[in-house]
Amino acid sequence: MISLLTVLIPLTWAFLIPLIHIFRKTWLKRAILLFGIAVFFVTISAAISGWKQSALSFLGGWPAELGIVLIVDKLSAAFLFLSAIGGGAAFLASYGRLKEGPWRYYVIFFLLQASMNGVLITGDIFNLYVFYEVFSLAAYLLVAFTISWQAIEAGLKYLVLGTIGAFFILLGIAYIFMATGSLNMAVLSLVLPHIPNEALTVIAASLLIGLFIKIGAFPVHFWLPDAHSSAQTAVSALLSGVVVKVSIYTLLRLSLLLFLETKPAVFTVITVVGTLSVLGGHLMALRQEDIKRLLAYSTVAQIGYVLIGVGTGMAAGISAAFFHAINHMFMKVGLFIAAGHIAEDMKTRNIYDLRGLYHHRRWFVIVFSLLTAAIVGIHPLGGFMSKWYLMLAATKAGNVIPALALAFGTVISAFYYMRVLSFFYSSGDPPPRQTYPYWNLAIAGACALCCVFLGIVPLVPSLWKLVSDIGLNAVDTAEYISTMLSK
Amino acid sequence: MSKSCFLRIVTFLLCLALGWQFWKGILALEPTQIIIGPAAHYIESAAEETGATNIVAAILFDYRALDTLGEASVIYTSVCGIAMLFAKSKFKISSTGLSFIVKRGVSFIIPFLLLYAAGIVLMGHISPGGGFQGGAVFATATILFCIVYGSGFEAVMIKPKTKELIESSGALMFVLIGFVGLWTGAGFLANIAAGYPKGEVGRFLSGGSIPLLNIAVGMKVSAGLSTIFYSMIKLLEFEVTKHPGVKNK
Repeated sequence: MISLLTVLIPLTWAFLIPLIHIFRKTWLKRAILLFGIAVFFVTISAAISGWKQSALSFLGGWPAELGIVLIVDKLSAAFLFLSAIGGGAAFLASYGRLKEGPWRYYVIFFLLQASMNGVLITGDIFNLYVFYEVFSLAAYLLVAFTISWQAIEAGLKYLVLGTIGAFFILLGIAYIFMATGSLNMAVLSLVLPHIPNEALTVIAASLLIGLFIKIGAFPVHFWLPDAHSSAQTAVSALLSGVVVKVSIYTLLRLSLLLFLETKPAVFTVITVVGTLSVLGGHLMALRQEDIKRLLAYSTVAQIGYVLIGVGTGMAAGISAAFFHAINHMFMKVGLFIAAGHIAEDMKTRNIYDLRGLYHHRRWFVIVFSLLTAAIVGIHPLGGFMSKWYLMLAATKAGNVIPALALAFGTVISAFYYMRVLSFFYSSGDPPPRQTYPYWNLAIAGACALCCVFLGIVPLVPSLWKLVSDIGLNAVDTAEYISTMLSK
Repeated sequence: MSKSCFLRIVTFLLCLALGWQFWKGILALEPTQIIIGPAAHYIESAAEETGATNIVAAILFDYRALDTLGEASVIYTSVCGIAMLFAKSKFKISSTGLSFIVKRGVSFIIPFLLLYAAGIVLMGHISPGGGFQGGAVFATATILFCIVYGSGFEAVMIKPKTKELIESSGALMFVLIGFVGLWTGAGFLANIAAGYPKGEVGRFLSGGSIPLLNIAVGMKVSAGLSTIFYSMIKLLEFEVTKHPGVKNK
């Protein structure tokens, strides 16, 4: 039941906020903060309960074949945890900046949170599409929220490409429905191997194209740098940290359930796209002078790392992919919040104009440097560990070239992040004034500390077991099916 | 033969190749005469299990009610977004509407239009229609007011807040109706199993929670679509009055 509440509670908040705005305007400030905290705790507790034992809720009391089932297994629980933390950090950052002012922003924010959780826990492929639609719409709107021309343009671009992606996903689902007549993912996993191979190819192609567009993988990534860099700070953090991870979860879940045995070529395609994303993303980031765009292109590359892990199709690779995803969530949320604050404070996003920042904004630069070290992969930090396990898994699966690309990409990323840091630490003119937004510094600092902590995780066997369980659970599709169809 | 022309031809050929692949996928599926999967069950026992003779309504509001909540949230999100993005300009009362004949004619139609919309919403479980369709007709009526009688007309002045109230309470109502099922232990959005009276199949009072959900969706959709129209028309009139060539009436 608690798994259902992760969707319903944010949804109800989104419906309640306009009513509070109409009747008790003064309550809005406290109510929004309370709502945000409630969503965080509900999501975390759903993740914990789902981790201990797969939690199912049958909507309307119908069995899995007839109705919609929500299911939280270990993979879902892990991503719910990620969504709760990333969403919570973005919520705090936006609350610290906007207070209760634009209440519609929070309506859309809670809708986004509800639909992301919905995607993560649903066990029905059409329901997945419906939640996908809500969360994409909310994401387009959050990008355009600041109503500057860049934001509107980025939002429009995101809208057009996102809709094309959604159409492909819908096309794939329509094919699936035509071929099998059912929509439940466990049932589909059982019946899809019996449909003709040509039809299965088309289904796989449609779903993959749609999801790659939504993820922002390399050949179809054009919307991502614009959208992630033009949005306001907290939204950038949320988009890079959580929203793309939700799409990655969808890719992971669908490819494992539907294509693991029937179409292994799907995993090859994922690996190839991942490799391209790593190289393309890093090479594009190398040319950027705008700090937020640089971070956005770096997201493309980091998604590539995660895709290489997914593409192994093995438990070790998937665990490593998740570990990198959660590392990247902390790193990018921290980096975007720090960079966004710096950009607003200094009124520029060009890295050449940010010379000498260390002497005026010491703590921000220290936090930023720590996060940079983590994302490049300096030894004891989280980024190194996840890349290491990704390389191990990729070579074990026989994907040597992706593993080499991973290492090469890391070198490029070290180069461009060092360039940014060298500007920060050189001497320059002092900025006009100083503001002390403790919220942003605190959130970015907390993210940096988490990166340090995540570096320890693989060294502690009991903690690393949690991560490796995710991969084992994810590839064990038989258990997923038997749990889902138990009623 | 310019470069762009060449690119267009290449793109066209690529699209054709993609279409051919997709067509081959359809051809590979043998058309079956038998209905398979859950659809067979729906056709056989929807009326018995949900009390609604309209199978589409039974699927939308009972078997797959969460999808409907999601779809309604899509509309809710877009309404909220449009209201947010178009919130900058002021509302201007300008036009005087269409000619006398149109005004008279429409004034005869309006009551029937409203009745028709209410009928579509309320009888969604026994005849084609439902909250989405009826709500859209309701919204059309409010839009007609603005077009025919001009934006100065009294009924156009329904405050955006009132619409927001209707929309949000419709959405909340949907969730609350669903919570009854959770309360009784039958599962969220359960219908007959949650204790909603089934009624006599085919009569007006039947279908358990389906008519209630239809009303909730009707409220949400009608207020939402109307809000979309009025958020955008503000901007349109704002631009027209700003144009130097056009005098204000």
